[in-house]
Amino acid sequence: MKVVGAACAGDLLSFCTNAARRGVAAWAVTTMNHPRQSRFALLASLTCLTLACGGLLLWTHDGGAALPLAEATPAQANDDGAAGERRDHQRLARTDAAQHVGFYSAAVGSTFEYALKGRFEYSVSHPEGGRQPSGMQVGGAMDVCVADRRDDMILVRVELRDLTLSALIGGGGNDEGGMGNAARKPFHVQLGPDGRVRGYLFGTDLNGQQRNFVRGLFAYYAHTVPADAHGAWQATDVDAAGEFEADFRVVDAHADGQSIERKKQRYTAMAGPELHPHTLSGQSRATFDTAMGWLRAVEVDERTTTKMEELGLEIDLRAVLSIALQKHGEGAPVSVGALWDAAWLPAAGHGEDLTTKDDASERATWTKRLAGQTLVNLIDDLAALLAAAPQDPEAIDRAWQALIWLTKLQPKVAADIQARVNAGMETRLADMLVSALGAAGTEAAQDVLAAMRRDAASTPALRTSATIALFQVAEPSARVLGDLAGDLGRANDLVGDDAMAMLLLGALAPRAADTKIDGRNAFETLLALEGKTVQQDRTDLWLNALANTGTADVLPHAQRYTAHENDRVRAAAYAAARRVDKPAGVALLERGLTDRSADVRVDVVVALGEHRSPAARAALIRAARDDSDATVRRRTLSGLAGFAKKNADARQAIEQMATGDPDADNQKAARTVLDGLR
Amino acid sequence: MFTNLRPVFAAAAVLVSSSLAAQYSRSGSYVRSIGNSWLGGRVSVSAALSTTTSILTTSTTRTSNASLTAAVDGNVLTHGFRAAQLTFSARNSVRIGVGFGAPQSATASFRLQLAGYNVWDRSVTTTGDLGGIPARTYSLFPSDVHADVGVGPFTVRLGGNAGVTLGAGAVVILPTTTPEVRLMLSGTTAVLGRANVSVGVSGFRAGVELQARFAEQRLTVSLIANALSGLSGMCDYQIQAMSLRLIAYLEAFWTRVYSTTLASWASGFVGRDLLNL
Repeated sequence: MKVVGAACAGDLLSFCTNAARRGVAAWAVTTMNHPRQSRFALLASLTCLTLACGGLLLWTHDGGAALPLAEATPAQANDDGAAGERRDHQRLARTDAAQHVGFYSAAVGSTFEYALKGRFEYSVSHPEGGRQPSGMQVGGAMDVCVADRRDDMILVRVELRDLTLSALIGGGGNDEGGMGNAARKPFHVQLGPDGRVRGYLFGTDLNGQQRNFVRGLFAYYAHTVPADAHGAWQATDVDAAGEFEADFRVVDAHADGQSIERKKQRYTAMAGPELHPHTLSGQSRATFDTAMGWLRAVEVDERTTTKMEELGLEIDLRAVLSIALQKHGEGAPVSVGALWDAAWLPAAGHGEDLTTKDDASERATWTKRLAGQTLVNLIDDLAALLAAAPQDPEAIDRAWQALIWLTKLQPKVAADIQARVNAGMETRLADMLVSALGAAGTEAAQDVLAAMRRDAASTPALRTSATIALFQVAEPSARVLGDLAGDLGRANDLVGDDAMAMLLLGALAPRAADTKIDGRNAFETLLALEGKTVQQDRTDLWLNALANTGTADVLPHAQRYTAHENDRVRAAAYAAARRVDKPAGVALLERGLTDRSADVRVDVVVALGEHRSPAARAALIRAARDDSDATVRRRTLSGLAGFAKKNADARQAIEQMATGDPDADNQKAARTVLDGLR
Repeated sequence: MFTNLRPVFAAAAVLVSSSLAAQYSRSGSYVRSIGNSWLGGRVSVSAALSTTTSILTTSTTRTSNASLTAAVDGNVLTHGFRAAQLTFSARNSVRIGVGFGAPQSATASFRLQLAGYNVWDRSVTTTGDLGGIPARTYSLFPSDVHADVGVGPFTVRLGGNAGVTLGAGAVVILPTTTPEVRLMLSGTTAVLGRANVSVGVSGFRAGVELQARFAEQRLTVSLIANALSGLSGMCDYQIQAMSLRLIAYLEAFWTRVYSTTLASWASGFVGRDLLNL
């Protein structure tokens, strides 16, 4: 009896507050257009609100306790079209104990089923080469369910049901990147009370591109509209591409709802190291149903043109999308409490990691390209290209890439290459095959290279080739690292391949993650070799191996040798910072500019030339101007040339050397550099 | 008392430190850039020979130096890298007369960098083969570099890598009792950069492929620096035409259905004697 009473009281409260809310909303709209009518609407609203409060008092007095939302009587989903929707909504509203203001006020459990249809036309253009168009059509259904509300947040569940992608013009293919499959998986979105997307929760198996595809589709749908929206306003918002500024305006307001137009003006943040020049045009229009408290329809016709000036390219995208409500009802209650505390991803997509290492689409592309090809075919192709005169480097590179991918895709190819190389073949062809193993970097390829390095029956050149090939490996295996550590531990004289092994260990150390070699990681293993190199008077080799790690971890160790008596060791100590393009790295190199030996300072300015920071640039300019040694000043030119195209100070330093350096050779060299920059 | 000795000490100091120094040097260099930070690069090469004679009251020190650096820097999609570098330096210093330390000090070192990594590092203090590596091609980045940008729900994919060819070897002669450095060195490099720019989702892409072919250079060096007889030899440098090409393609069913060269930049062949003595 109490439950029924509570439900009834809840229904009454819900009904009246909803009516009041609709009345207030109607009043807000009509006030703008018909001030006289607005007084009646406000009066009706206040009457309902009073009744609601009275009902609540009576019910509370009866000792009833409010039921949680999920326990309220669910309304039946309605398939009767628009009229049915409205009746359904009223039932829904009566179950909502907490009313909300604004355009996104639908009760928890509300479901919205939309038809989604549209097309994306895009092209890559170049002034000389014309336009390369492509595009796709998208269709399907989008289901949105208000899953929960908490404080000022709304949690919705979205499913792009039956989403299909098909070719629009030319370039049609299957969606082999799995974008459609990914987009069909349900996801959750946190919205603010104004509909602003606050975060996404995607399935864990989606990669960055897939997440952004879904993010981008939903961003066309979601429109941020404050509860007191009227007239026109400007606001910032986000989508898959980044953060943008947009103009909004109310284009149609009536008792049942409003239509809001959004015109994106400019992006203020996009992915990548720079904000590419871009123009935005077109608009989207979102129609809200006041009674329903949610979006009824969205029409999008937007165009984004992004320029990549340094490549001379223009990327154009036109999105035409229609999202129209088909059904509105209430879904089964869903327990979403834990979702609030999940790891939500940002609303904007420009911070996404869009790279997918060795991604599925690349593998699929090469799988198709190499269908029917065998290792023998590919080796024959490469051999023919290497034997041709004149040689075609691009064709050789393509043939080499094919061999790399065959090795990646077919694990047994690595062993086949080993067998063929061991059987004997032309030197350059053999070297390219061995190098392909390193570039492929698979476990099988690494095993083959590790075996080749230690194969006593093999030629010294081939063993060296295998060692150098391993510099390319992205994820070194425990076997490779263990072999290197073992070889270095046994080496009596750190020259030749053993010296190269130490340099290789340095290069692989930062890529080796936490792989342990006798309880140490690769970097610690390298550090432990210091004593051995000092004994053999090869401290410079050890420092050069440290330099290969390219991390700031090497700096304290390099620092200890900057006062060493041997010029070679001091030069190597400073050069250890050549790949540490951070303030601490530049600071160490700057100290090197005061070294007593000009030979050391030459190495220092060459190392500074690998840096790209303003501090490194300033240090180079100082050395070009002030160093007492002509050779040191001249060696700054290569580094300065790297800055001079974009930096006036660097260019000026070269110009000053061209006219004012006391050494005639330096003046000539500087003029050559200036010629090369034109 | 000691103040009277001050001029004597001063005179002695002047006598001991009084020196006559003579220096002869020759150098040559070349730097050339192509493209930009998205695809392109720079080559630079510098060679120098010098001799120095320092005459003190008690000894004469003659030193010969030779140094050479050739570097190739590349840019793929704003990722800058030193694709290859060859560094050689040698010094042979001989002292005649009374003095501290050994009468001769000789050293030479030869380092090769590939894709930013030291791959060859050898030093000698006497005449010797500095070794090297035969020319072969390597993938510059262990994994392709990317600079992807989102446009709407799609990603403009920019990915690239480069194949670097490097080969070099050197022999140095550092005679005993003679302040001389003799160097024989040869080196070749080449870089073939690749970049893809495309938009869409896999299977529905339009894009362009960019190719940068540059730094095909050959360095042949035979130099002698002798503090007694002077500088001689040659350092010949050749670089083939550098070119950048943009090739448009449309991807369908994993194949490029057509392609057309959109643009190209090229520099001419350069052959120059950096040093010819």
